[in-house]
Amino acid sequence: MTSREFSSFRDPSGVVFSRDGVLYRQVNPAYIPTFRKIYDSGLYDALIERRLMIPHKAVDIEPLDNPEAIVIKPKRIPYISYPYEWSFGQYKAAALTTLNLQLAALEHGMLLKDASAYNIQFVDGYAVLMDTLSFEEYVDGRPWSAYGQFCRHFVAPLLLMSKVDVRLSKLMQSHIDGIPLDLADTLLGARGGFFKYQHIRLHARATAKHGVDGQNESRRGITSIGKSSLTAMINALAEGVSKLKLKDFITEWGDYYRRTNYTPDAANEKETIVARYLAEIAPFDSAWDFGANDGTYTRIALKYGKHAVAFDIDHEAVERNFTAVSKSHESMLPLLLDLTAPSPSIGFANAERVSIDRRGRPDVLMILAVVHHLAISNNLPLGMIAEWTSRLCRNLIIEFVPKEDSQVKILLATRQDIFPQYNEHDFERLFLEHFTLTGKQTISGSKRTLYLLKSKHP
Amino acid sequence: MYLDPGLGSMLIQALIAAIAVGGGMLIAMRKKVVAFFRRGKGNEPQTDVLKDASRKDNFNEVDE
Repeated sequence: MTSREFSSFRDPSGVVFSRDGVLYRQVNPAYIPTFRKIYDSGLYDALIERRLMIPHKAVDIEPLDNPEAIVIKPKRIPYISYPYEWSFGQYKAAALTTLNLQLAALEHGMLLKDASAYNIQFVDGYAVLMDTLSFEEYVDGRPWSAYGQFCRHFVAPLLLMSKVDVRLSKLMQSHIDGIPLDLADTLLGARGGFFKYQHIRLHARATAKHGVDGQNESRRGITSIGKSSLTAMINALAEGVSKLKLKDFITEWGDYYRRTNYTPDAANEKETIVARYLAEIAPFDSAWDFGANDGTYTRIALKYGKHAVAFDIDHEAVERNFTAVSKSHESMLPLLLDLTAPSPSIGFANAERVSIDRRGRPDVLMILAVVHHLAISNNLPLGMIAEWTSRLCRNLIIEFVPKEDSQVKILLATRQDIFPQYNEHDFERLFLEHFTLTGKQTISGSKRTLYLLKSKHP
Repeated sequence: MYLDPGLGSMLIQALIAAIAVGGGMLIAMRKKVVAFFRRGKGNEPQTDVLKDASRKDNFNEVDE
């Protein structure tokens, strides 16, 4: 079966499609000479060597819709992520990759023709370009056509995260082509220094001033910029981005593992049971971990499966995990996720950037020490959690934390206990409507139980 | 993704690039001055924005 990738509609250079479950990219005839230059100039090898772009190979299969086109097969990206799911460090890595792509392109007589944050994906801890057709031939004197996009997609969100509040990356979710510069300018106020002044304020004013020029006068007056000046500008952007730091912030979960109520023995036992469950499912392709914190348990899944996504609501936890992954280069992707409001499907026709469940179904989903937060802190009925998770995954490893547990007691201390169904018996009854029980074990030295469940959902 | 370049973003780049070139020259001058006073004290390590990628792994492999 062949299908066109919905989000791949803007670029006339080519199109992404899948055939029998494998992703391909068609390179249209008009772009083939430029595509050849990516190789002939040595740019392709340089980008792969520096881990700046996803590798691909030419394949001899029928193109999607143009017999003159050529087809390439890119390396598979285990899980597609979007900028509003990245921690600050991930966002910064993606920005620096984009600038390094541009510098490398200039060195090889080419130019990065667009700077969308959505073109950057994470593979083994590297921020890499997934859109191989993003280059064009450099024409001497021409400014960078994607500069405006780079500022909306990278400079504005990074400055807002760094100088105002780290949660402002969520603005990317409501602005599909990046945060409007005038909005960023208003929110930043006097913050951000000269870097902000140039790339946000002056830039926003110029955009507003010349926004309607195209209607009433010819596009004259675009000053020619020499290659060395353009390179200096990209280097200055890279330096400005590199200097951005996250303000110190303390979160609810940041030091969770240092203050859990597990004794060392119980923690060891929990790890042993989780590992045993994972071994029962192994070998598998992908694992997700909801409430992964710094990825301690997600790393156990990596011993039995190929890839893992470590979701957490806490920015500091995701940031810490990404720092680890960017050193170890294990096949893990830490991402921000609020389980009570997961990433929606947005963009044109609500289908350009898709919700988490439409980007793949994991062989195993782990929900450890989380269900009490969903059920008690957020009033989510257990039956609905069971139904949703059964659609998300094929197997579920879930930890039930009863009311007698000290962590649950803390949650209930300040609220009325309106959760009569929150008990082990009802938990099992409600989950087994959507799952088959394959394993159950209580963690000795605690009141918690670990379940291995198989989804009934096809 | 295809991009329609905004005129404002194109025009402002001449100024931004000029600032970058000017800034680069100032930094180079400052380095020379610092180097002059630090003669014999050893060079500072250079920071490179390009990634070091002399690793051996299977990143380059496209699965069959």
